[in-house]
Amino acid sequence: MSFGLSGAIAIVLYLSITVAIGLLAARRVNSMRDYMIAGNGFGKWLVSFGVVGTIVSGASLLGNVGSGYGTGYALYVMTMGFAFLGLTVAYLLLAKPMTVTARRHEVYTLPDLLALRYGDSTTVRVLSATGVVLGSFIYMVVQFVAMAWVGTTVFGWSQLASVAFGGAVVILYSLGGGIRSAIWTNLFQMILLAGFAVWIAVWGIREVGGLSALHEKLGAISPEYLEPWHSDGAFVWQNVLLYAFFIGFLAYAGVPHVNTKFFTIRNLEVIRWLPFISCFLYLFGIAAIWAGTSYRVLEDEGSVPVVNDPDSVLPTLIIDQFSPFVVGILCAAVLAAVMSTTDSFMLLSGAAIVRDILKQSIGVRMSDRREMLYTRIACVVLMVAAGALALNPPPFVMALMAVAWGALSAMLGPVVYLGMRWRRANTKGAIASLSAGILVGGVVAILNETVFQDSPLLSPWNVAALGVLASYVAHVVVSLATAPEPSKIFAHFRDEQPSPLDDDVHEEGAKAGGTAGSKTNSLPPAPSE
Amino acid sequence: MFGLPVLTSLFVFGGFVAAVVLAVGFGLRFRSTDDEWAVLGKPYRTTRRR
Repeated sequence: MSFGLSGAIAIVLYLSITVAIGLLAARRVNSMRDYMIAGNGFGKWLVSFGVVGTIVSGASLLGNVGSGYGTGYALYVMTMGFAFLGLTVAYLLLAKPMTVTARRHEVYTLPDLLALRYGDSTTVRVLSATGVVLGSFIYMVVQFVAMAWVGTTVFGWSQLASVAFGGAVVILYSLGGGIRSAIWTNLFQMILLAGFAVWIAVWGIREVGGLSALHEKLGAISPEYLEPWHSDGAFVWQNVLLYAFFIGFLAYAGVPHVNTKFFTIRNLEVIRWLPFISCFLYLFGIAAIWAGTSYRVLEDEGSVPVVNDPDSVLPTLIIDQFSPFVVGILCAAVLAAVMSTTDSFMLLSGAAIVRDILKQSIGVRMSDRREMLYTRIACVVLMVAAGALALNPPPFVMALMAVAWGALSAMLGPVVYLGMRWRRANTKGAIASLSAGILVGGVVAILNETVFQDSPLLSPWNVAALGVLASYVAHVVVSLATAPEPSKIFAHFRDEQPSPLDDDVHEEGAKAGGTAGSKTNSLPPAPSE
Repeated sequence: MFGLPVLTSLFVFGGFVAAVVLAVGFGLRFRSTDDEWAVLGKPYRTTRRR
């Protein structure tokens, strides 16, 4: 691919700005709280851009265009049909509880939150941390594969040089500043990515004569392109609808790279318009799908080159239709999408290993600064390992990517949602839920992509969706069948405080000037900002 | 809508519109003055005492 001097300038400019933002943000990091949750210091714009930026990865930018080209609307309905509602509901149900909990307790990671919610359970912490590390690592490998694509295709570099350069940039801008650098750069990256996605979608729709003309011509090629699911093949309703509802709606924010962003919220007022902003930002981020459907029509009309692989639609379109500078912008946009996802997963997996497994589960003692240092080292080790695996990715890694989001949602979604909003949920229920999610949404899904590829178990039903269902059912049944237990995250609720008629303990407290019954629930100030 | 079948339109446009309406409703009704949130189920203390 040739993109000339102007294209090279676009990419160099993007990389320079990203690194500069990351390094500037790193100057304000003084503690693990700063490093992992930005000292609870972010407002609505940064949180929105951080959440959506991490959702819209490099693979999904290329994939959205490819899915529009290859399946029409089926993959859109499957992965995005309920996703706007799912994201909004996630904010509604989780943003406030997680913001408050992060302010009242030392909670930096998702396993931290789950352990706190479920009676300081080491089992809950280890199970959830293991899921976070494995899921994050798979995502990192796939993002490195996308980096390698950009390096080899655009720059003509070797795979090793592409992976090493991309990984070095991510480490350079995000390792020092942690989540603060990651989200600040996400803001810039998301502006670039969304701007590009909207622009190319509008271009495609205009080329075919408008949205109605696009659908008319697409339906003429194959009516199935306009249907929400297909009558046979991979996109039958049992797969599409179940995934859309259970993963996209009921467990959308089970994935840690989304829900841990809620820990960074500055105060409760920030939450008010987060869902509204994020809905539009998400729409802009995934708009590239209409470039894919438009390309299918243009290809049929003979206006653009024929492609063999749906994933090559976007690069082919750009090279064929646009100037070298736009090609440079495309590459920068793909890099932006790749890096904004990679940095989140790097931090999540590094912290899960050091904080959740070594420090909190095994009991290795370390100071705040040591913990930050070890987390950075773990991040680098994981990045090197993911990069090495991406140089020659075994087929199963790509297969695992296909199930990674669903598996993470199945495993972690129900324990987070029920944990925050159902007081009767208890530790035994959480362990059952995590286990059911891992077994059905993870193990069965992975076996279907590898061992049982020819005749998948439970086919044609979507196993990740069944994993979510199994996880919810297991949590509810086991929690109701076992004894209730208190949880620290509800301890500040007014109805958890001793009431005047309750017991002697309260009377003593009241005589001593206790505050039961009064408004005791205002947030303490953020520790660092 | 825009030449799409009704069911597909519901997923493609309806999901977004419903989410925006829900987000606006949430924005208008959200209480940021205390740090309690609505939960299902009785508090543990009440359950234990009964």
